[in-house]
Amino acid sequence: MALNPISARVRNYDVRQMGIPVSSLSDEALLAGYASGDRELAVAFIRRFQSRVYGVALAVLGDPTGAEDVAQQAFERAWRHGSTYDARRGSVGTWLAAITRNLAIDTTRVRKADPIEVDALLAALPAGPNEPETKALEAESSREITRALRLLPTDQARAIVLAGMLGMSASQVAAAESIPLGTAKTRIRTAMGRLRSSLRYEHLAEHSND
Amino acid sequence: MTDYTRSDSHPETLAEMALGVLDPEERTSVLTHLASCPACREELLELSAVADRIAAQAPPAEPPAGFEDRVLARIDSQILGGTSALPRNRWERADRRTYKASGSRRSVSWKHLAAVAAAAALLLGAGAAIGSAATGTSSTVASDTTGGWSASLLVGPSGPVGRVFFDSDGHPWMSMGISASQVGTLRCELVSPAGKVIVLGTFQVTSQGGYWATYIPVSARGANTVRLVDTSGKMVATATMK
Ligand SMILES: [Zn+2]
Repeated sequence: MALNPISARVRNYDVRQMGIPVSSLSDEALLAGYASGDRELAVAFIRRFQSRVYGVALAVLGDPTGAEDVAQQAFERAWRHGSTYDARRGSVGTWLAAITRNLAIDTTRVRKADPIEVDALLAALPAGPNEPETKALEAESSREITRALRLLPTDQARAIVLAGMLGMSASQVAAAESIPLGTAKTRIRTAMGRLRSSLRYEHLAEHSND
Repeated sequence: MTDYTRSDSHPETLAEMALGVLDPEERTSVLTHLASCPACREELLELSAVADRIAAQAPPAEPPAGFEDRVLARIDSQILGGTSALPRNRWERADRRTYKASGSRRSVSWKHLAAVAAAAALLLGAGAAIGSAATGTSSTVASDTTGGWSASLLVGPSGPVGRVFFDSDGHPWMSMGISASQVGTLRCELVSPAGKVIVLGTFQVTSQGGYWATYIPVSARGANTVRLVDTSGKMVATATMK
């Protein structure tokens, strides 16, 4: 089994020694506590992220029972691989979402297309995660990506929601949108390229404000 | 199949790869290309960061009640080496007992964690149990008379190297965590007061420490000493059972 470096526990311990309540611990500190086996922190970690993890699984699988199983697997994987989390590559929430998405996609390749759901997801985008625990940095990151998504042409945004949130392959996107496979692939590729560019631009803009 | 089979072109499916939606065949093809193309590896990294952020935008949804308990139980079953015959709710049980013993969740979980970290008893399922263990020189560091549970220090030639937990409830079993100072294969033996030795099995200690759990066979009842022996036969640690 994966064991985590002792330093992570000691760091955690120091944080708690200072009398900081669990609810105000950073996502990273909670993850370290969870992965190192502290039960109180584990419960806090699961509670903080369960709706996001379950939401990702539900989006891909569209079935509550399957989604719960995948969400459980995702938390298990996070526990096992907590020490490999790298804050430079994204927030804890994003890391968990990616783990969950990959597990969910591996679980099923037969996701039924539901055009109404896609519209609903697109409409819901601007909100993003807004739980009270969500840290300012993550909220900002969430705003960036939703803003970039909304700047895409609708057909590309739909392709991204279908592939990126519902976990559909290009051929499933093609079937769902009644378009040729090549068109689906092009929409996905073009949209991803644009998203990457606009996020890059946002980062440049941020730094120029410093 | 696609144009990137030509050696001078890059795959056009990196975005799909990043989103995790390529079928295994296409994925293999991309991976083959990536092995020799740093530019595409770099691009895939960037696209993956975008893809992960998209996945995180899925609308949050509350899982059914009891979700966290099921996650904890699931991890418990992993801690115990996937041996399904072992108790599944170890974490919960240890927790409940320590609450009983101290009455304060906070002091139980954290008071002694530094000592625990030092001992590298990386028993995830027994996290709270570890926390309840008093520090000190006694080799038996904690026990719970109501539940038949106890913990002992594993002591090597130069001091404590880990901890052993015993549970005599129902089918007795024990689990142990040992620090990385003893990297290699260790054999675990139980020794009775009369000197009878029962070999329980072997386990690996890596550079990150080691963890092992096992049932205590009927033939070993009455044994009061745990011994860990390395492959050369040298004893590396002992613990005394209460
Ligand atoms: Zn390339």
